[in-house]
Parts: sequence; structure tokens; C-alpha cells
Amino acid sequence: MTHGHRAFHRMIWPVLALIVAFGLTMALILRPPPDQGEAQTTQEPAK
Amino acid sequence: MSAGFKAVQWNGRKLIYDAVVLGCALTFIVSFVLIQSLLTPPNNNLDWIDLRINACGVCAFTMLTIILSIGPLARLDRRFLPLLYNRRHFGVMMFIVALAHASFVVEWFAERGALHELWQEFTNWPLYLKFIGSSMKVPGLVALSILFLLAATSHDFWLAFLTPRVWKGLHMLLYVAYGILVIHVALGVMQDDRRVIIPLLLGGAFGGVTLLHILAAWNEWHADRGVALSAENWIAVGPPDSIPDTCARIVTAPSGERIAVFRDGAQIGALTNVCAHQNGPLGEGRIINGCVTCPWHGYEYRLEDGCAPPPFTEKLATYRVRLRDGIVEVDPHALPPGTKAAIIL
Repeated sequence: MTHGHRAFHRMIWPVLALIVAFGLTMALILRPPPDQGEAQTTQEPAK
Repeated sequence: MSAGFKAVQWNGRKLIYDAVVLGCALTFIVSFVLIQSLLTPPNNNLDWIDLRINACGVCAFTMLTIILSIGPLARLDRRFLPLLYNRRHFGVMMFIVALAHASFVVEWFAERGALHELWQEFTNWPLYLKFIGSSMKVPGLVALSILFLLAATSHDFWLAFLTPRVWKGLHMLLYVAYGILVIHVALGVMQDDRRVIIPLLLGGAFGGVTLLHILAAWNEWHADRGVALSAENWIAVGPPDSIPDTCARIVTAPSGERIAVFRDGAQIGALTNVCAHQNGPLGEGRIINGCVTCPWHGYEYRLEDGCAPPPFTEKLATYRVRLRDGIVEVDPHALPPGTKAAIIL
């Protein structure tokens, strides 16, 4: 890899890790409660 | 190498590589469908389509996780280099599996006669302002579009047309696509399926790939440090014997670019460390049959002038070398590609 590619690679992964970790955590925390989720799935399976 | 255009440059090694990847992917999908259908028998055609959606989705995500792990693993341990050899075909196969996943989703809506609902999900603009409750298909489609772009430009024609520097930069979009796919799964299956294994596998896969890339980048950063320049701004490499025969020592110029200083018996020459094909680390290769050979795809260059042997036309930048007080030194200023610069001790 060129120097520029190495510099970009060094930068992108920590930034990506932070954004995705934040998104994953929020998606986990803000999940609808189980009963509500189950009620929705019985009505119409989400695709 | 690029003496002429060929649709796919097959050889024995690539065929074996592709057959293994294809076999593993098919085994994965068939096993997934069989096991899931035994655990929860499908009741109707929609359930069968659902099963195929999940099987292809999990398979594509697993393939992408492996593909993204190969690069840093090969940087950390040379034993993984054979996996890197035909990674592009692996990537194209992964795109085909991801495309099958998307087409089964369309089939699922078509089976219900509800294609308009699918369209509404993409055109329901208020949903774009939400996070939870937004359509997980939007990040899925964005990631699939990136994968299509990369698969479509994976051929050597595009590599030559775009130049390796631009092509490599473009294909780094794969990292972004992976991040988007993690969010696609987090907003999709993780919302419906509350088993703890889902976030554990998802977070574990992404965390593992990230860790490998950060470790590899850390190693590379260390290798780029500590350039010792002589009074005339030449880089001291070391005594000739410190360069293993038919191998190279890699030094970093003050500009940040790396130089591979090879020794072939009594001949010493310096080339750019960046292969003209895919910017592979030339200095980690060896001299085979008198030519410096890239460890990634076997591209060959003559040590004396950086030119590929006929009929191939690639040329690499070379660097002046000299022996001073028993120490090999290299001038960090690149010479025009194809310039003779090697010395005989």
C-alpha cells in the first residue's frame, strides 16, 4: 500500500469502530420490549 | 500480468481457490436451510423464502467478515498469504450471495402481492428521520450498491483504467459497506430476534475484524518510524549481509513511501515497495528465477531496472544504491520507472 492508503487505513478503522459501536449499542438499548415485539411478529412478520 | 486482456485470468491455483470458496458457501447455505427447517419446519412458501433470505444473508455476512480478515491476517502472519491470492473472486462470490439474499426479499413481497409495500418502505421519507423503526432495508441497499460497484470494478481492466492508487482507494469502501451491513442487521433481525447470540455474534464479528485491522495498522505505523539519514540524506540500510539473500529489507523514505532493498547474491538493487498491480508489498516477496516476485499475485520485476520481463510492460520506480564504509545506503529520491540502478558488489 502507498503511504496515503496506509494513513487512510489507520484513520478509517477507529472512526468506523466508534460509529458502528454507537449504532449497535443504540439499536440494542432502544429495542422494543419483548411483549410488544412478539405482538408485532404475530400480526405481520417483518421482512 | 497485463500483456493482453482476458475476461478472467484462470489458472490452477485460482480454480482450486474458487472451488473451495464456492463449495464452502454452498455447504453453508444448504446446511443452514436443512438445520433451520428441521428446528422450525416451514409451514408455507413464505416460510421457505424466509429461510433462504436468512441463509444467504448470514452466509454473505460471514464471507465478508472472512474477506476483511484476510488482509490484516496476511500482514500479521505470512502463512495467511495464500488466502489473499484470489481474494477478488471471493469478493465477487460474496456479492452474488448478497444479491441472492436481496432478490429473495423481493420474492417474499411478490409472493404476498405486496411489492408496493417494499416500494413504500424506501419512499416513506419520515422514516429516514428515525433510527429504531426506520427501514433496515435502506442500509442494506446502500451496502449492496457499494458491493456491486466493487464487484463490477474488480477486473484488472478497471485496475489499469483507474490506476492502482485510485482503484485501491475505491475498494477501501468495502470497510464502509461492512459497517453499514452491521447496522442493517442491528436494525433488522436483531430487533425481531431477542436471543442474546445475535448481538454477540454481530458485535464479535465486527469487533474481531476491527481489532485485526487496528493491530495490522499499529505494526505498519511502527515500521514507518525511525528513518536514519546520512549527512547526504541517504538512508542507511545496513551491511550487505544484513539483507537476506534473494530477499529484501524495507526502509521508509522521509516522504513516508517505502523502499524495498533486495540482494540477489552480489547484486543489490532498490525498488519501490508498491507493486504496480495492486500496490502489494513487494519487499515482502522474494527473488524467484532472477525476478523480484510480489507476494500477493506473483507479478515479476527485474531487480536491475524494475521492469517486468517481456512481454509484460509494468515498470517500477527504482532508487540509487551505494556501498559506503561497508554499509548499503539508498537515495530516498525515486528515479523514473525502469531506470537501471542496481549495483554489483
